[in-house]
Amino acid sequence: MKAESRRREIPGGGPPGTSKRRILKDRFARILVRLGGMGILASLLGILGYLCLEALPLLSGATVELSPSRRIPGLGPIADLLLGPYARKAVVLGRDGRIRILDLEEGRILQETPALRGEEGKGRAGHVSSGPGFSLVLPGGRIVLRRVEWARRFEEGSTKVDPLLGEETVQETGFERVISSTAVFEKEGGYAVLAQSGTDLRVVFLQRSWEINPLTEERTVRESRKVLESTGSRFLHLALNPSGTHAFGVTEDGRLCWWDLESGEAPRFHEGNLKVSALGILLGGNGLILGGPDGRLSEWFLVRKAGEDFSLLHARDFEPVEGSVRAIRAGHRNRGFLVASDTGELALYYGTTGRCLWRGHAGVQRIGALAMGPKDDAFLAGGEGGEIVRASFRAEHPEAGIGAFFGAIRYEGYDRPSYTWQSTGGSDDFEIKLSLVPLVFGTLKGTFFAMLFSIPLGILGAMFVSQFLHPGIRDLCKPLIEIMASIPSVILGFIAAVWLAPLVESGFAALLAAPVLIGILILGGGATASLLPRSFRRRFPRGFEVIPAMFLVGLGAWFAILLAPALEGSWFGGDFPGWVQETLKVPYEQRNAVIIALAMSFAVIPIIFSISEDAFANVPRSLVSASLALGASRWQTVVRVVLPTASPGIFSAVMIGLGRAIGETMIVLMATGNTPIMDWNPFNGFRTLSANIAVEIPEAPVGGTLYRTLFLSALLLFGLTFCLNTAAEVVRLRLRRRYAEL
Amino acid sequence: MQQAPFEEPLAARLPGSPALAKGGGGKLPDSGGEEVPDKVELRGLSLWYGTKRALHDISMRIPRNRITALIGPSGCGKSTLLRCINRMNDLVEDVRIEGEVLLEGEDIHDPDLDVNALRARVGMVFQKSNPFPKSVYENVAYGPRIHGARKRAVLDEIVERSLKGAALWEEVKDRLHESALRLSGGQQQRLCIARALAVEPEVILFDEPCSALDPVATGKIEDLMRELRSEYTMVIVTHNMQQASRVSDFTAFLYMGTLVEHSPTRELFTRPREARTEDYISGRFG
Amino acid sequence: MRNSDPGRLRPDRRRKRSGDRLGAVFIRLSAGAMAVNLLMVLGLLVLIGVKGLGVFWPRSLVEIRLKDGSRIWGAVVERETVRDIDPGRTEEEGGRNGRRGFRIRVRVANRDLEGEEFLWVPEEEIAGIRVREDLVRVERAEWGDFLGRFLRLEAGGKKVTDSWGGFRKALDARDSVGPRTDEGRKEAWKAVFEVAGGETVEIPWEGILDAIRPNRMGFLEKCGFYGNRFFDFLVSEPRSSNTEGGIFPAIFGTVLMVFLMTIFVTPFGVLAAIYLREYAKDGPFVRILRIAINNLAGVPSIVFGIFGLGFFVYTLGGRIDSLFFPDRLPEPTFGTGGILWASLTLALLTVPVVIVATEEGLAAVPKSVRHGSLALGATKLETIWNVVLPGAAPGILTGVILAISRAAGEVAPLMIVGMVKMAPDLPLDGEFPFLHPERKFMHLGFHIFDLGFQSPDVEATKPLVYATTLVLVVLVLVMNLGAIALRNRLRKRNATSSV
Repeated sequence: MKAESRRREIPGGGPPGTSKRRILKDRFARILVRLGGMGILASLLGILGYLCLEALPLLSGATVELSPSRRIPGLGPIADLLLGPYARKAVVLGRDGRIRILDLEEGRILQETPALRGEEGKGRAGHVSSGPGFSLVLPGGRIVLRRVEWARRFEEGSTKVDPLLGEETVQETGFERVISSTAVFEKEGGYAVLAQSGTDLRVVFLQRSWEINPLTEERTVRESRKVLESTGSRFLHLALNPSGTHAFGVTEDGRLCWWDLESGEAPRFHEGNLKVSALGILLGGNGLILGGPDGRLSEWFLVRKAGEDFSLLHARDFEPVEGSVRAIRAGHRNRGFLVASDTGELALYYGTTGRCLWRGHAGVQRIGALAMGPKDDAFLAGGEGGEIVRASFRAEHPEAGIGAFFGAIRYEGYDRPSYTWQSTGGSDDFEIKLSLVPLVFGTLKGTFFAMLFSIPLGILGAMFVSQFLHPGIRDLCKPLIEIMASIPSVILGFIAAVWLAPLVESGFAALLAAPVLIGILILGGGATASLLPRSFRRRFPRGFEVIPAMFLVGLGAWFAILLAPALEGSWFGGDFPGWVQETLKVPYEQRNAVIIALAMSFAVIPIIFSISEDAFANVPRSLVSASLALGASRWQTVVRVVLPTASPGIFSAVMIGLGRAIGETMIVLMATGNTPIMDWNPFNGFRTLSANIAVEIPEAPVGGTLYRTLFLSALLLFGLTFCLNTAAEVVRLRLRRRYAEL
Repeated sequence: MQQAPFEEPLAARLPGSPALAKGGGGKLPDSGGEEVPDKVELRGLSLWYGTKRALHDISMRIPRNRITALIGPSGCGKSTLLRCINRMNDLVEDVRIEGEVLLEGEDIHDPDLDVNALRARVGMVFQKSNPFPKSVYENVAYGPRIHGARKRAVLDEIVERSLKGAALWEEVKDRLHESALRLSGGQQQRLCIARALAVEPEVILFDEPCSALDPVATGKIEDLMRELRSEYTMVIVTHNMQQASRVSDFTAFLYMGTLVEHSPTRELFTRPREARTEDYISGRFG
Repeated sequence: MRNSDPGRLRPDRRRKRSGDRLGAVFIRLSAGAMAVNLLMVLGLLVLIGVKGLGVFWPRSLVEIRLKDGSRIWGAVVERETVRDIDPGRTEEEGGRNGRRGFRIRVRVANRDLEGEEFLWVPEEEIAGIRVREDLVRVERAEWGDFLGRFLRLEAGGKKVTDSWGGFRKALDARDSVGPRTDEGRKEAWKAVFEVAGGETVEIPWEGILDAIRPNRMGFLEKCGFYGNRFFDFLVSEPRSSNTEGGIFPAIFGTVLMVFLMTIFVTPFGVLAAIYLREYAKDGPFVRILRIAINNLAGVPSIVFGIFGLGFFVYTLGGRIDSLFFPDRLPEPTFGTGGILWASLTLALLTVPVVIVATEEGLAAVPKSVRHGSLALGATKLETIWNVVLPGAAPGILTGVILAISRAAGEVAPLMIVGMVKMAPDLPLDGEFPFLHPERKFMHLGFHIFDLGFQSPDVEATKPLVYATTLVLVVLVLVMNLGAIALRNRLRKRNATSSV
């Protein structure tokens, strides 16, 4: 048959049937397109996952690798310890007054020397508050100080570290007998000693420092000796801060006291019955850690309450250790510290947050001394029986934690717990403050003020455009609002900061008067219009109200500007910022929340407007007609029929607007002072989460705590907007289904 | 592909239509009594949209080089049935089909069968003309192109032949490269027919092709169908009984998803065997 | 009002009236709200237009004589109210007494002499202002503009000319020859000017870029000068650490970045939209996908920025560096912000825009056309490629334009993934491989931020920022209007074809 003969021939000489290539192509396209679809989900989840991945390490504590305790032949009871870089070598001060250099890898003594030649076996180890070195108290009121430095050399491609023992320095205290002492080795090479006499309980402060003339390289030694006012009590423990400005002590009867060494005044006591078995000073020299015989640990520091003098404040308690605290050793890089108890328990804490990072058991019962590696990556515990326990540890983000981000914390020098963001400071002893609360607060504050302004304008505008506006102008209005949405926020921020802020400062009264004047003009104008003869009114069909309204708004704004000086004169004494400061007792900043509200409304109004306009416009016409047919007025129809039906859409409009306001960066970055303070005052600046990221990320070292904290705040932003957007979308989907049913 | 087994006469196997088997009173318009081989055969075809059953166990044969009309009240499943023949129902979600549709004896639901090749063999013209937003030429050349024709001369020839076949050539030969959307409704529909012809199908399905056209355009399409009858097997869905009686050789009446009656057209309209058919064609319902 | 009481079918006419009247009040108020919105946009656009366009207009130069006998030459820029402060108290101490006065800001230029580009002059100290026609504004290669009175042109201490015309002629002759070195001349030329204080100032000939007497210029002449300046602004490189010169690298960087972004975002967005419209079956997965798209659109841009920094720059870039450029480490190649990472980040940010617009475009292609193609035996791919995508093209284009406009103005994420205030090299040049995706680049939006907030002399750069702002706004505006027009056409077609 004819049909038979031609049926496989596709006209034009193509191959019979669908060629394999076509099918393969189709299949490939299907896979590609599906991948594209999945790609969207993958991107979102990828972003979420990556942010989590970067932020998660913040919550981890410390990981400690404890090697089993070992006895090193020839090593007796240990009085004090120092650990070198890479935890390869250590220097030990024995109870026998001899200094031994240990090779920790091979487990042997490399070198042995008396702390003071010729007087071996005498004396006992003195307390060292900070700095690399040992002190030894000898009979006759002498104190030997030996500094230990670490020298590096490169050999066969690897770094070797050797301890260098400084010269033997014998410091005379002038006392016959010293019962308790402490020493500080300063970075530059000087030292300071605080010692109490065993005979008359006087305390002396000795300081010795070097200054090298850079030209002549001559060394001038400066020495000072200050006998402090007697207190009549015996001190069990003494501690000096690294800069040698303050000293602390704990008396036999459990009182804590402190001296201001620069003023030389009498010590001040913090009354109370404290049981203290060990004392440590944190990096920076402000935080004092007390360990008790019951294992309790607490931090104290000096604060000055407003109008009062300095006093010691019990800042916080730490999780207690088992047994009596025997030794406390502070970290070299942050506020972390290591604690050992007489049950052999070891624990790592972080001062600022009060967090316990790690607890473990040394495997040795009696620990006499602790040492921390110079990079805070290893520690060493020395037993009284000459055992050595070495550990390497990693605590990448000890300053982080839920408490650090969201809790109120008593920072050093703060008399009450506070939420503070202060990520970088000028000096080494700066305490990093990472509370996200002020940033969240700033975000909410900015959003609140922006929404206060944008929600009514956006929704009312949308309602007017969709329900009352003449379709002819509608097609003109909507693109204008879309243009509003497209204006880059950097431009809004720039205009707000450079043009608007000074204008508002000088004419705030106009800003206050404008809404009132505009309202009066519009209502008055409307009333006048309704009085006009019907024939005249008929020429202006309904739906053109917005044109006279624009004129009236402009007029109102102009009146407000004209009236502003007079108003400011009569209400605010001619100077609004001054009035705010004097009468309201709050500061006035030029770049404040009011400016943000105005500038951000440019970004938020179009979003609220277009989504709620959509919701209004999609209300089925039949509902409106039904209501109008029942004799309801236009307004009644809108309020009773359209508004309730569209309300879920308006809800999602507000949610998405909120999301935009929360995430807005450039406007707040440029038009606020970016001060992370918590204060509802609208004439103040603030710092938002988003602006904070923009400000801080260039300074944040990759992988560091600040870097990860910024990722956490990005995650927070992501989470906030995710909730808002999902809620909005779910509501919108439901609304769409409802419309479909109507 | 082998020729469909030529079995017993078509009408003999139609349920409840002994008249057709004999070819007796119901003469076919052109060749009375001649036994026409099948082109398409439906065997126990049932179709569900989700849980709703749209076709109930339909068996019928569609003879080669004849025009078969499907009539019935709206919603009776005639378009659905039509779309089963080129598997356009695959595009609807949640469709389940049971039974067989044989094209030249080959089951078109065979998983090894290439749907696209099937659709090239079974063309379709839709209720509403749907030219692509391209030129007249491109519309017609579209099918051959996707099936591999590349040479300009070949395409030119196909386009001319197809347009002539659709009786549109004279009207559009000077505006081949104008947009197809500028043609009138009837021209657009004939263009769609030309487009279908261009891939030289064996069967052309018409889904109410004239429902949106005026009587003049309708007449042209009907004339065209009669002309094409010698070359193609055609199935037309129509709700217009006059149209069915004017153009078709056989008519099937569907009601609520079941095949009520399938006979030569004249017989069905003059001496329906079923009461429901009679009610419908006499306008008592529908 | 509800009339649920069947016994009272007639509505109370009086109540209806009052409800209606109250309603009218509210309608007027909502009209007012809309009016405020519209005025806000228009006002902003007008403000940017006026401020930006005014930058290059040659302002007339005046001589201000003060009551103490001294005089100032310059252009009056603005006038503002000042608050009087009680003598002996500072503002912080609350010394304001509520009295107001006015002061004017005068651009005196001569940054090298005065130390300040602008001066504030209290109005009560002014004895008189007059326009002097012989004042000259000299544009210099260094130190910004100079204002003064032309005295003479010297060559090696000998007078060449003392007439303005002669000076101009010499300048024009020099410019027409093109940049010329000094070698042809034995003596160094210099122009001698008098400044307001009466001293004479010499400016080396090479240091003079241009000199005009704005007060002598006619309107047309001013227009020509203005157009020239604006053109220069668009096509020249920035000078004196961005405070002068043009914004060409910023425009170029923006365009290139946006171009790269378009390459990434278009296929991705179009594929996703095709999946949603053509392939996916309606169900929970599609719903989740839609929520994901909406979220992607709603996630703050800074989050994309920090993600881009962490993922693209440090993770991906770091990996690339260690694999392909280990010899350059630790100096990063790709492991630092660059135009590639910036455009990828922005592609992620703008993909929802493209998806939404493409979907609208796809929806505009009627189903019957798809069926027509399928019924001819075309595969799904062929149908989409030949029939659907051409029909959806305006939608895709709309999406891409909107994405571009968004990317051109977005700053926050770019600040951290690759923008710099001054890029030494353009990311596209004649050096192999021509496109350097790892290079940092300049961006209009960031340029505004940087000039307005981080420049050493914010007051002096403000006019340039306004001009840059204008350029950016015009760019964004044109693109958006184009997109809106395209979309409206598509919608109209959509509406007619679906009938």
